[in-house]
Amino acid sequence: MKHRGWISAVIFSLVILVGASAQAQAPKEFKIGAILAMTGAGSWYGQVMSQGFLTAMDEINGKGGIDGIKFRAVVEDHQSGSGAAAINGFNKLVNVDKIPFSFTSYTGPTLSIVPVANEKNVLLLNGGGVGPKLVKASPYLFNNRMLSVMHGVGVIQRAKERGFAKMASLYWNDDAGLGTQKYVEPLWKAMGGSVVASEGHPIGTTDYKPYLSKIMAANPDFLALWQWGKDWGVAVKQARDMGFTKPIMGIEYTPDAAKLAGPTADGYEAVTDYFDPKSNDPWSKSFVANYKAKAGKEPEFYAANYYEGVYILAELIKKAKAKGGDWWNGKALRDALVEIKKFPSVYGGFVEFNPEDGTCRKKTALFVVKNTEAVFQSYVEIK
Amino acid sequence: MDLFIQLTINGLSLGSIYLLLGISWGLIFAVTRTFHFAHGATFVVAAYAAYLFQQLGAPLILAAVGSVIAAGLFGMAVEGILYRFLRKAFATHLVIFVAALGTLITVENLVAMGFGTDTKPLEGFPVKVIKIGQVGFNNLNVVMFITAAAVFAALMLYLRHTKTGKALRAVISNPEMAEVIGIDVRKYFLIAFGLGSVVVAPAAVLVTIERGATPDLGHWAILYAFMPVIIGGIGSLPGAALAGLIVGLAESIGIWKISSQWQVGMAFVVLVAVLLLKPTGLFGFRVYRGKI
Repeated sequence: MKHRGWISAVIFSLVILVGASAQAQAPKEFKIGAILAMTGAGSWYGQVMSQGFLTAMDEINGKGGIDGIKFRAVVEDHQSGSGAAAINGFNKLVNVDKIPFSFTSYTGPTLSIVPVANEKNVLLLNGGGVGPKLVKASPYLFNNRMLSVMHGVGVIQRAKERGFAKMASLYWNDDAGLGTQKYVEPLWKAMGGSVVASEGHPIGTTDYKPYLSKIMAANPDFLALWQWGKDWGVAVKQARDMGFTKPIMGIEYTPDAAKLAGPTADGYEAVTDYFDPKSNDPWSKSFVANYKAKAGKEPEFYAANYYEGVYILAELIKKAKAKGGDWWNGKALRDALVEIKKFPSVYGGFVEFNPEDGTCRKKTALFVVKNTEAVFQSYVEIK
Repeated sequence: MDLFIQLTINGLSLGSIYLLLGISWGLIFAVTRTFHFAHGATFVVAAYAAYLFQQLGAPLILAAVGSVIAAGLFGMAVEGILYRFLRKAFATHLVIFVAALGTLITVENLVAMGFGTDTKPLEGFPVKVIKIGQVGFNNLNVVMFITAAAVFAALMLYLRHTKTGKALRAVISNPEMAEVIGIDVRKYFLIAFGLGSVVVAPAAVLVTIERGATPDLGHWAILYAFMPVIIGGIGSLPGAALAGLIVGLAESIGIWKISSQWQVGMAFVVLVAVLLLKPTGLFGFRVYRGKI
């Protein structure tokens, strides 16, 4: 009995220690990172992607955060595709800001930061990059947009449907564009088609005439564009202005590029992620309203992907926290994602991840451009 | 053969833009010996001024006129405010070069802040496709060529047949002697900047019609502004004009038998080849003195 006081003191100390430890696990704020194209040729992406996740953060923070803890984002710039800039920015996020989660974009920069993410256990969510090399790139990398090879397959399925035989392609000379071209062209040949011209070009090219000259000389049945951002709009405009009258199909539609192409974009077909800003889905509607209030324009699927990403992260945090232990770290968040797999999507329906390779399945559709608007035609089942 | 003809037409169209860039920068450099890197900023100002005027309701032609005026004023402001101040402070060529580079970057960033970084199109040009067999081009390509030829001819006539033009040529030929015979060199520096900036504006408008304007256009413009001057020979405007066309044709025809992605490299191949064979450029006879 004489030890009772001593035992009580030990128990009391343990309770204090455990309590302090539990409190130490809860961060003051959910500080997360983002490696985006904030400057350079692709800065449009950085703008819409950051506006997308900031809209979601404002919504959640406006309701008091998650159990009183609010989100804060630290954005670093990969200068529209620089691997070196991405690594510098990511090292800062990991070593200075101590983030356990980061948004990322573009194939090249994302692949550049993967080794650091693996080493430091940082969960990466990519809603923009589409290159084939993103598949199985890291156990910590997940993509909440369909990758370009899947969209590319959708394009050649559609071309086959339309009875085309001779394909010409114009592609970004980077991991995403080149990877898509290398993946899709053999499939097209296996389907009985032929490839009469393939022209790679740097991202952000403004003069397509040299490439288009060769493509026109090869006389294809259709032109496939494995390029993104404003580039497809410029390419379509210059092709039509040069008198290229054959169908043009691609894996991207963005309103700014369509505006740039103007009436020449009419008839351009795209197989891509399906986010409809005019959808009646209640979540889509509230997102569109809040995004418009913040950014002053209607969101497209890039903004939607990053907006959705914050809500996915919120689910991961809740799940990891409920499991207890040290939960505010990349490993716990990744484990939660692998466990949940399927999340509500702001597109309507769900986004479902494949933990084996980091890819996802979500709504994909065929669009035809009319008066610079992407007009939905049908859902596409990628075979 | 169709492809060769197509590439030649493309090259002439592209070369027309390089011609305007080359003679505008070449005039400024020949008169003032200032490595005017901020000429890229003038190009951006001209492009966005046209866009802004059109957004305010001006038809394309008036927007183009507004662009020319804005470019001229901007060019003269850079000379009158920045370079003149630096020269008074006995700044070295390197300091002036760095200040010019800073101006270019600052203007590009200000434009990005004011207009955003997405591409701004200039609308209203009635594009008409001209198709001959597999060869296709349009009336904008024709307008580019005619504009470049007309502006070059007008500039040469101005320099040869007006009092101001003759004074500018005197400053180009020998600024010290020009000053001795009573020519106000500072005034003609300002005129050269104004004139050079006015000449670059049509190129900015035509490029914006064809591809749209982005804030980073200035870097592209300055690269293709000084390249024809070096190739053509410093001080020779006909040299810069011819070199502009040669660079455009080389970039275009150069990819006839090789991948199109090497297009930009072709311009540098021409640059290096000319410098190796004739270090003073095609029409240059010495490095720091020129003749029109």
